[in-house]
Amino acid sequence: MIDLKNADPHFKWETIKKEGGKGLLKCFGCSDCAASCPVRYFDERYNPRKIIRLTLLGMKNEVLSSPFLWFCAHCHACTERCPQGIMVADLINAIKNYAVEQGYCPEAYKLQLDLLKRLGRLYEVEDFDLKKRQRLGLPPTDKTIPEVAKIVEYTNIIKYANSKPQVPNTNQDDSSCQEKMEKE
Amino acid sequence: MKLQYYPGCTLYTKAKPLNTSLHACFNAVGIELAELPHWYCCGTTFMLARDNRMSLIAPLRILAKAQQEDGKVLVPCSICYNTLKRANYMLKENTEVLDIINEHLEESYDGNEIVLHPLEFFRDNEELVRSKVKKSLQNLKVGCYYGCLLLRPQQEIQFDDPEAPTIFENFISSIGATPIDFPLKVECCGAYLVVNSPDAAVEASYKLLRNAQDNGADVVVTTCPLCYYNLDALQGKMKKAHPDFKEIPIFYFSQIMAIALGMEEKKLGLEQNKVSPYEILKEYNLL
Repeated sequence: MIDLKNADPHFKWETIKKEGGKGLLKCFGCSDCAASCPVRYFDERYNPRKIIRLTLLGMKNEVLSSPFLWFCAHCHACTERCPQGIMVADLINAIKNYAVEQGYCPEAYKLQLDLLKRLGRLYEVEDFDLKKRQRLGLPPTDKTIPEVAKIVEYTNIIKYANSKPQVPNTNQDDSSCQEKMEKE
Repeated sequence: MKLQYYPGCTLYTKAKPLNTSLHACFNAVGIELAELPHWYCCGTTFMLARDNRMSLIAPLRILAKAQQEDGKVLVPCSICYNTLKRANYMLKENTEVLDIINEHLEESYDGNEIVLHPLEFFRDNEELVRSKVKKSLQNLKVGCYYGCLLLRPQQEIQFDDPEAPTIFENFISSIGATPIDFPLKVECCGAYLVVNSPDAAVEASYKLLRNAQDNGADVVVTTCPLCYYNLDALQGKMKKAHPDFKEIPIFYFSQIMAIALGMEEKKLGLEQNKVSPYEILKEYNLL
């Protein structure tokens, strides 16, 4: 059940300000996006319409802390079929950016950011790679690229990603909901 | 005749068979593919970072470089095609961003480079293709799988109808094989989910392969290296999850074309297929 007591009326306006978020208000909830979504066939709990609806209602915690936000494969099936012409994949992306800003960054991305900060690369160059390059007649490459690391630092993204969620997470995640249902 | 082409990273690594067979096909129709000098990664994650001007730098530099050589560039990889074409669209629509990036890079790109997919080229030169066909593939029923990136978002890509495209079927008929239409030909194969949630990709790919088989396809043909990987390499896992699943060989469009043009086997790169294509090809006397 949705308890609107915790809803944040500013949430949708904040989301619209993000790049890609401007289509949000056009949604009239026809569920074409959810019906087109290939991820939804695999996991019923992923539902683009639900994410959009909750955003419009202002359920900030539920939306930003939801692990399903990160399931989108960017196949653009929803974008193509939306009768309101909303770029749904871009909208989901805008909400993802918002989530990271508010301290809800998935662990995998934090690890990647850490690599970028330390090495300026997403893949560590090891002796094996250097040998392979030599075999192919390529010059040796630097193990770290400080310039890239600097750019990452300037963007402040690491600060955002490692910050604690700004709103206390009162959200019951879906797995615990499911357990409850099973018990009943 | 020479045609400028941008291979992209995968054509030199995972998708080598696409590269070799495509070269063979173009040579057979009398066109030499001239590789863009000093090319680099197209940026690939364009679709994930619309707000970021930085992600437009790589595509712009490639397009600017290509424009210096020739007015159009052939891009065989679906992901590169999507990235370059969407970037081109954005730069053309938003001249402000174009000016800013141009200024930083000291390039003078105007947004007019034509990005061309091999299927578009073969569509425009259909008679040329027909005249070079040597082997009859008439009995081979080919499921034409488009994937997402060639078609969507249609406004920016303008490749074909996003829900009911026909360019692939027409291509398959022009090389003499029988195209099979199946409802899930434009559905997603699971794409990058293979990294984080492989089960999701296995299910998505299984569903569409099953759909192709139910509609009578002997083989499935695709253009995209990522779709190719998901459809081909995940079939072992599909079999584990669904024991009644029968394996189906996957080809690049250029491999099927090279077979029709009577190329020798070593130019096809068939040895890299995870699901063996030899049985079906022998059954129809195509090897």
